[in-house]
Amino acid sequence: MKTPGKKTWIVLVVLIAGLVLSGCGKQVTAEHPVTRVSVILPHSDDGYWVNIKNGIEEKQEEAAKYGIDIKVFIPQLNYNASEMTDILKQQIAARTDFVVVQGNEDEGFVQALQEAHDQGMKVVFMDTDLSDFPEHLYVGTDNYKAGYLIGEQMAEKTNGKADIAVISGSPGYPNLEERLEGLKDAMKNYPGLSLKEVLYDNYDGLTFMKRYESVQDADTLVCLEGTGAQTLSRMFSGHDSRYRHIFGFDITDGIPTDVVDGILVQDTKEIGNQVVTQLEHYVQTGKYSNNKIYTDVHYVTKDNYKAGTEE
Amino acid sequence: MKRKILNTVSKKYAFGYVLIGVFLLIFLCVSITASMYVSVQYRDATKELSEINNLEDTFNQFNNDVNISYSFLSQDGIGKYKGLKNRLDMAKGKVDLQQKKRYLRETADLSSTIETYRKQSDILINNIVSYMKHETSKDVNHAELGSQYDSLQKIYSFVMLRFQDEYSAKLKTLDLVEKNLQQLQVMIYGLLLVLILFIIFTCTVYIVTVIRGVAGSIKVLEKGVNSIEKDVRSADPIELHSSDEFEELAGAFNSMLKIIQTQMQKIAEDADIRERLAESENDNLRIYGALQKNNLDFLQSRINPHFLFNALNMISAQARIENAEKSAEMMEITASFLRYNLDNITKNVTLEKELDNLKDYIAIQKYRYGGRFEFTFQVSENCLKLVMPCMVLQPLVENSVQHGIGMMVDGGHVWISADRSGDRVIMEIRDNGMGMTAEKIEETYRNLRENTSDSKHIGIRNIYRRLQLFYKNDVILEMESHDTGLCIRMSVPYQEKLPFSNEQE
Repeated sequence: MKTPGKKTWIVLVVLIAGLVLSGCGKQVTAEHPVTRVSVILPHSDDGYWVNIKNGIEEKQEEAAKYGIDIKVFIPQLNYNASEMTDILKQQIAARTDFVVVQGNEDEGFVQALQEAHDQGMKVVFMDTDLSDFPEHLYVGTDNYKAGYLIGEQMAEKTNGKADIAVISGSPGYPNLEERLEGLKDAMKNYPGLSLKEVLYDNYDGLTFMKRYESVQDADTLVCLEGTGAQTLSRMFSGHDSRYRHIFGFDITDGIPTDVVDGILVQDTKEIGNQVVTQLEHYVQTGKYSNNKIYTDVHYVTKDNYKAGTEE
Repeated sequence: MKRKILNTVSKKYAFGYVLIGVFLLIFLCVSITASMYVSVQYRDATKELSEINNLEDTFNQFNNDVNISYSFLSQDGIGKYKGLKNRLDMAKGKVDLQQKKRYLRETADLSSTIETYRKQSDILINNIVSYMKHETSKDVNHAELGSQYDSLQKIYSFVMLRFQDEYSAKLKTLDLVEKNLQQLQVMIYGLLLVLILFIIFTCTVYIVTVIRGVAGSIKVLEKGVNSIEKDVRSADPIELHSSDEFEELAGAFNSMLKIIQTQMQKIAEDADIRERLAESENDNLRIYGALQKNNLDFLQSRINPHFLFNALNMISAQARIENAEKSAEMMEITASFLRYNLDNITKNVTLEKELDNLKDYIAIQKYRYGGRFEFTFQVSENCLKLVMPCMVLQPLVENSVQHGIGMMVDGGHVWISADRSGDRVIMEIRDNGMGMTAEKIEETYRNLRENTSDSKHIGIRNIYRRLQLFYKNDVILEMESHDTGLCIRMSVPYQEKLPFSNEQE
């Protein structure tokens, strides 16, 4: 009988070693992130802010390689400045390195931001900028340009002649104010366009519908933030004769059913991505690539709905 | 040549058992290690929770001391606060250490928030102490203390939230660890199963290989032995390379086979040689026998005409002097004599027949010599069956008549006797004739010994040669001559039939 050769023994030993070592399981290695980031979202909607959150989380794994640990906080109440301030204060007490928030001119909120800044925490604004705040980064749409763009599209659609009502979110949100400014400036080029009233829905569908129905002397509606288009797309299955034309932001569901005529879509996921990219850049270089990072917007109508929504 | 370690069947089996032992040891080690690893993981996970709980307890006590110090301006509370600081730092230090093992955002937030609390609480307590020292002083602002206390309690609430987060995260981690450990346990069971299957498989393969090797070796040996049984000369050596006793056995077997084959070849060669020798001997014997027969025939053929001439001369002479009756009687006797002579001259006869023939001859001689000679027979009955060559006695009697008593006018006497002496027969032809001188006898002896071609003594020499051939030289022929007559004595072995001969009548 032939006795086992050298090769047989090597194979045997490797097999046994493999079997033994494979049973040891994954070794837990300790990681020590040097940068703690707290992201405070104002709203857990089913579109806009969730997309931003997804954009952030998409790059979370990549950020971890740079020692960046991102934690997302969402208040119980939508756009509740008091609750957001409380969360912000918790982050100040926890001495995190970065806070990422939506710009909000609420006094308590700004005060807390200032306290954070004073403690050496870095402040990043997304979606809405507080341009007067010291040493900060803004990532989001150029809201003035966005308002101007939707004004141009509206003028084109109404042939430069319409009585316009605007429903915005809440007062004190500079992004919405900037959009309104842009819209107004665009309208100046068309004398037939007349702004009849500006209303606020407080980011709430019920309030929006109240305002929607309360408008008396306007035939064209512009919703300056996503709540309007989102609510309308769920309330109506076709064009509502109350208004000749409706324009909105962010939520495109009402376009195929002719509930809305056109939507200015912000690349929200890109906002989330860019926030993380700039954090990585800061960790690596000690500064942002630019203090204002504007993300893309595009106008979607029924004609380009498919292509526009796919983007 | 490289020497193999497993060079015996017992070593191969022993190695199999060692292999099983080693595998079982590995199996045991893996089981123990895996079990220990799982236990350590569980212990670590629960230990972390326990440390967090300890930190929470200490922190709550700490905050309680702050509350007592503030609410009651209690010196005791301040003392306890200061005394508890180290415990809190230690408890926090243990939690911070967890971060080195497994980083958790919640732990980092908790730790930092507690640190914030600690700094604020130190400021508050220091202000309280200052306030207590300078109660009447306007430097210590009561409202400010209240605000600081409120702010501290806000942070306390944040710490509590962080504890909640921490517990959630830790429980989540524990849950994850538990799941991982469950998976690990499944993997370990799987591994152990695979290991045990591997052990069983490897050991079975090894043992089966060894057994098959042994069985194969036995089969090869059996085949080798069977091939010997069939034909040892064509059997091939056993080809076995098992590196064990079987190979040695096969080697020994092959050596034995080689020896047997070599010996068998030699035996075969010897047998062949012997066969050829036997054939050659047989040929020699045949040639020798033929030669002897030829000699005998030749000798006897030389006797016949000699006597025939004498007989015919005698009949011729008698016919001239006597009438036809006697001639007829003589002719009958002569015919009987000739018949015997012609029938038996190349054959062997009994003494009885030889005597009968001699009596015919004497009858013829009596016609020739009338009553001048006497013939006396003294023959024992137990000699009559003696087998002997034909025409032995007649020439000798004729010789006595011619040369012994032939010259005597009367009184000539010839005695013919035959008697047994042990296993021999003594035949004697004696006459009372003129006899022979010693020199003559000696000359006759020499003539017989040397077997010369001398024409003298041709009759007795022929008889002697024939007897020698017939009895294979076991013949004694003696001649005695006294004052009167000659005695020729022949001693031959008694035999009733001839060896290697069918010519017995």
